[in-house]
Amino acid sequence: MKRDELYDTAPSDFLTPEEQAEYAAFLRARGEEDIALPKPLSALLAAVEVTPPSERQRRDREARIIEALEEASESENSLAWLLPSAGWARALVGGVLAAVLAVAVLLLPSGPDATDLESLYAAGSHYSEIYGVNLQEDLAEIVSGSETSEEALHYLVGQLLTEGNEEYLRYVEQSFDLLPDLGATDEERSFLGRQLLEPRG
Amino acid sequence: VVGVVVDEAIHATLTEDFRRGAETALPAAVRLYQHELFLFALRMLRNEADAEETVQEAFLRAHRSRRKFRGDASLKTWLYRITANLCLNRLKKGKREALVEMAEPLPAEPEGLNSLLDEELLQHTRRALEELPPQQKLVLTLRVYQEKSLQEIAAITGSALGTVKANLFHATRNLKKCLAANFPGEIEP
Repeated sequence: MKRDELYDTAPSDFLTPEEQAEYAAFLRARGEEDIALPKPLSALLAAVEVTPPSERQRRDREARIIEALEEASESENSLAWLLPSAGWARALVGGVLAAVLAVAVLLLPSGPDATDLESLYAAGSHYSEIYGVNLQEDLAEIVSGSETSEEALHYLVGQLLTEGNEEYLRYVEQSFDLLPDLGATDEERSFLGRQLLEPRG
Repeated sequence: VVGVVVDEAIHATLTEDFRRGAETALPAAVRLYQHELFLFALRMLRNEADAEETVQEAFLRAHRSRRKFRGDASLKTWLYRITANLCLNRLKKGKREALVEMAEPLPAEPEGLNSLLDEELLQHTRRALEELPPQQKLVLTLRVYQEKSLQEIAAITGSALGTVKANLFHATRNLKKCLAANFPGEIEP
């Protein structure tokens, strides 16, 4: 099945009649300004709202965060002479991580394919650094915890869905978010996973 | 309207200051945004210590990545995004601990709902929220509790608008399904 065929698969192929009606309502709602929650549900959600902290707790927390920032700045300044440039430091960290990843893959001959993982790693490391996601940690878990390449890819794709914002990730995001709920098979999801790894021009 | 315009001007100035590398920008952002971000993290994680740690880490990451900030989105949106990703990481890794104390039911509920708002139903609602897939919980929290527009949620999550609507739709449907199973007929629109 080609990517376009999968992307255009009708919901009726996956959903029960009741779910189809619900999905049709959803599609209509996509064109609207907003999706309103049923009033009783809104009231329930309001009733389980968290208790806001006191003004004092708020000020104390503010002070702790500012103190942590000041410590980070001081620590950064004291280490500045060690780092010729930010680019140099990043290259070093990237190199070490890539080496760790390569060794981990080699140690697991039946595990994920090294090229696949490195492609995903390259796409994801940028977001890891900037947006606060911990892809490095995830990678270590994935490589050691996945039995098959597909399993690792599915997990990684899931990670990228929530972490990336580049054009090509949007396609996967739009597809993957919907497919599990629409009852896509493992094979179909696996297909999408493989599509992710194709070079994009 | 005037308040909104002033707020927007403050956000824009702060964003530009931060982009230019002004040292005062991030502490100012802490004063302006940490409370809102903390409540957001608390709603996601339901644990005060985790929420504070997450917000502090978000500001530290913003500090470390400050030279990469291009100002495509506002500083506030960027901080929301980092916080959201950190919350998702925590949820995925199951680091939640004890639930925080929840507020008592609001005194003035819409007519006919008083009988609904008993503790059993509230417990089911909390559990249903906890059991939502993290991405759905994120979008629902941003929409319902943080009162973000769908466009703002798209910017925070880095998702297409359609994806945000899809997640909100699925979150609502999952909550309704979960609650309807225990309280049939009570939460239909």
